[in-house]
Amino acid sequence: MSNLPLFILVLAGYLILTRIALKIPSAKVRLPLFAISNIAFVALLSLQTRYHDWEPEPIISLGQEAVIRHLVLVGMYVLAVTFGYVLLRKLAKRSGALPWIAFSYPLLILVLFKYFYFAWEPLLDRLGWDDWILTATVIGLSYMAFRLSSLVLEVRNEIVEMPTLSAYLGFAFFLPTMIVGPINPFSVHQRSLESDNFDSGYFARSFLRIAVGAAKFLFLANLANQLSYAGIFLDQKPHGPIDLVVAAVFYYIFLYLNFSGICDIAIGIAGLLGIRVIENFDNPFLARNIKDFWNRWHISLSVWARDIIFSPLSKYLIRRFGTRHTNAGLTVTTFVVFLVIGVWHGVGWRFALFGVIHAAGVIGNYYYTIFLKKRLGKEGFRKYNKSRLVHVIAVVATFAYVTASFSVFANSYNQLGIIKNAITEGFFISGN
Amino acid sequence: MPDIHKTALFDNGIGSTHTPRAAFLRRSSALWFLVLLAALLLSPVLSNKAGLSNRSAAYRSMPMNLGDYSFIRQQIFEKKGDIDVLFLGASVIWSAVDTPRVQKELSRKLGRPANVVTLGFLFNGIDVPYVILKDLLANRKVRTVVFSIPRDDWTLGPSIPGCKLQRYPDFPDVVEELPLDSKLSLYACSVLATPHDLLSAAREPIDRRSEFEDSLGAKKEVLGMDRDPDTFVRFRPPPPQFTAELLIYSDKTKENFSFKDQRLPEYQEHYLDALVELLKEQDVQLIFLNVPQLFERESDKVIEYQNWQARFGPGVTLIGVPPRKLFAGLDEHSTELLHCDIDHFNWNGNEFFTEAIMPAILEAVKHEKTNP
Repeated sequence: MSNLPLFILVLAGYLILTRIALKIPSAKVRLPLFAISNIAFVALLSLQTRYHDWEPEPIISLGQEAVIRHLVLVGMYVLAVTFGYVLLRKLAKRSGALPWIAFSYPLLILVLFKYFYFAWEPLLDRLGWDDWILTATVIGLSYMAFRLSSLVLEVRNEIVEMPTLSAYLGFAFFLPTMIVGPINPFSVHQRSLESDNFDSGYFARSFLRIAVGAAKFLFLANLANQLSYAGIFLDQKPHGPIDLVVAAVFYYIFLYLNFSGICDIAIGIAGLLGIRVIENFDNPFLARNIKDFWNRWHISLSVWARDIIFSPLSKYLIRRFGTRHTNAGLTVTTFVVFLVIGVWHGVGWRFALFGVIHAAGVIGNYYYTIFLKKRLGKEGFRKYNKSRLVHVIAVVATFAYVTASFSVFANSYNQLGIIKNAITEGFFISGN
Repeated sequence: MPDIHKTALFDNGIGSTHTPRAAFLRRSSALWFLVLLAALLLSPVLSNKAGLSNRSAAYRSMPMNLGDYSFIRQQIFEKKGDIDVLFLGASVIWSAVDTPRVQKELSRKLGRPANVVTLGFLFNGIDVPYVILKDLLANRKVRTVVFSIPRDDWTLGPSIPGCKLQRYPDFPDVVEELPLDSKLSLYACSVLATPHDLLSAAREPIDRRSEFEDSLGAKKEVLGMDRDPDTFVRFRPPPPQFTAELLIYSDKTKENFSFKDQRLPEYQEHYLDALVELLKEQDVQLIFLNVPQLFERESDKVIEYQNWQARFGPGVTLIGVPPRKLFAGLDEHSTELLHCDIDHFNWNGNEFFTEAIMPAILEAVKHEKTNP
């Protein structure tokens, strides 16, 4: 969406119509209208998706045929999600492995589109369609898949009652969190839908979140990006090592401003509808270790990974191999969790490496804590934890570790080669 | 009715189970955020006042994919001595002129070592040559500027390199009269340039010897058509012989020229006027050189947007060679061997074209036998 005035206009229409729908007292009317409004505006905004080419054009400007085809595909997307609801309804409360089918279904769809997109190529070739057509259809799938799989467990664990189809679709296609999350649990979403706590302060608070988010996302992030890897090293000039430090630090700052800014906007827009969305960031620059970092950075993903992977897998491993192997079990589980987090961010070895680096950071911190407790004793460890100097050193070290880890996240192999050459060779040559 | 202000605008940062977290913990945090935003928005003005940005740093911050601004910076801020002839413009003229050859011929004509330089850049935009000239003339004397305006796409606002090269407070005279949207674009460009200016102020950027030093700024592309290095073939057809009178616009040769009477976008026109005005103020001779583009090869006439002489006065000289005459005797393939794409000459074309226009350049340039 590059046409900002049009985007704001569509968003205003969405907010007004959805707010009107939410004012209807009868849930039997309110929830279907809420779902229809969200699906309709997701389809409308997706028509503004630009396919990647030398001269990208929004789908809406590609002619009637392209628009109809896109809307039919979005309809199929809704049907595929609806099938997830059928599985939820039929299998979530059954015993044995059946609930896992309902749980896995959204993730399977995600894997099929994100990691095995090449499998679709023969079909696309046969239809004479470009690759981007599918990508433009399944917008927001990454976040939706995690939310919907989590919902299966919420129903199974009786945290929430079985939702109606319209409540399910309204949650799945909830526009503010479709593209960038946060991965809001159904329980939080539904509770705020049912409560009427919207007042002028709530409105002002939400509006301020949007304003601050827009300032971070549109302005501050762009400024920080001027000194990130792309802003410094792609100028085809020689650079000193200090520039690498500057680029790494500003990339971290850029990523925070960009991602937290757009999450602020999402939370604020949802807030204007009276719907609460969980927070995704909590001053990550102040984290004192990597575990603490993940409690402050992309919190909704960390919570999802903790609840869906870490807890069940670690419990299973400890049950299977005994408490003597608790540390080994936690180590294995942590690696699995961060590998999933890594590859969820993107396809390729560098995202997996990013996960491994963070797993190593969390595990290193875990064993270091055990070591300190043994060495310093209970009282000594308490004093150590309270030491201001230790805290400052820990925060700086964590900042440096995370900053370094983002270098593999931010740069392709080719770009890493360009950076290396710019520093060591003093000139620009392709990294390949 | 719900209570007014039941939900506070600022809170302890946690929020409740029903409300989103407040953007700021306290009112003072919000104020500090506003101060930060204001400072960043005012950063072009503030860094200018604090002396943290300077014109040399602006050139240092230019990426190589927009042109070799290291060479341009060195010519402006480090090299000394007068420039007899400056070829200035975007990539079309940059790749069309064999500067050392012109310097050699001009030196012979003047009977003293002449100083000829080409300052070329990528992407169209008259804001860039204006800024370069403004900076150059503040440091060095230039006698003649040979300028070219390509027949190509133009941005309605700041050009890509122009956005990065200008700083809003640096050229108040020219900026003041711009339309509001262009002013805002330019200001936004300057805000985005501030981080690089501050970085340059904090540490000395590494500069390297420009690859254009030996060629005096001339760009000699060793590329075949479609910018393919593999299809480049050295091809040196005998250049056509023209008299100076035939190539210089005059009453006698006006039939050779075709003016489209087409105006450039307002922003570009504004900078063109400012550029011409600047040269007049500094008593610098201005020559408009028409560089033919491949798609014009069948044309019997020199194609220009406007009659620059009629617009800017008789002091302005127009030089051009009708493409059909320039490429006479060359078939389509041979003509393509002189180009690396439809807009640009390659090394072959660079030498071929320079030889063709040499008499006109030597004739048009004001001759000063002594170097004051």
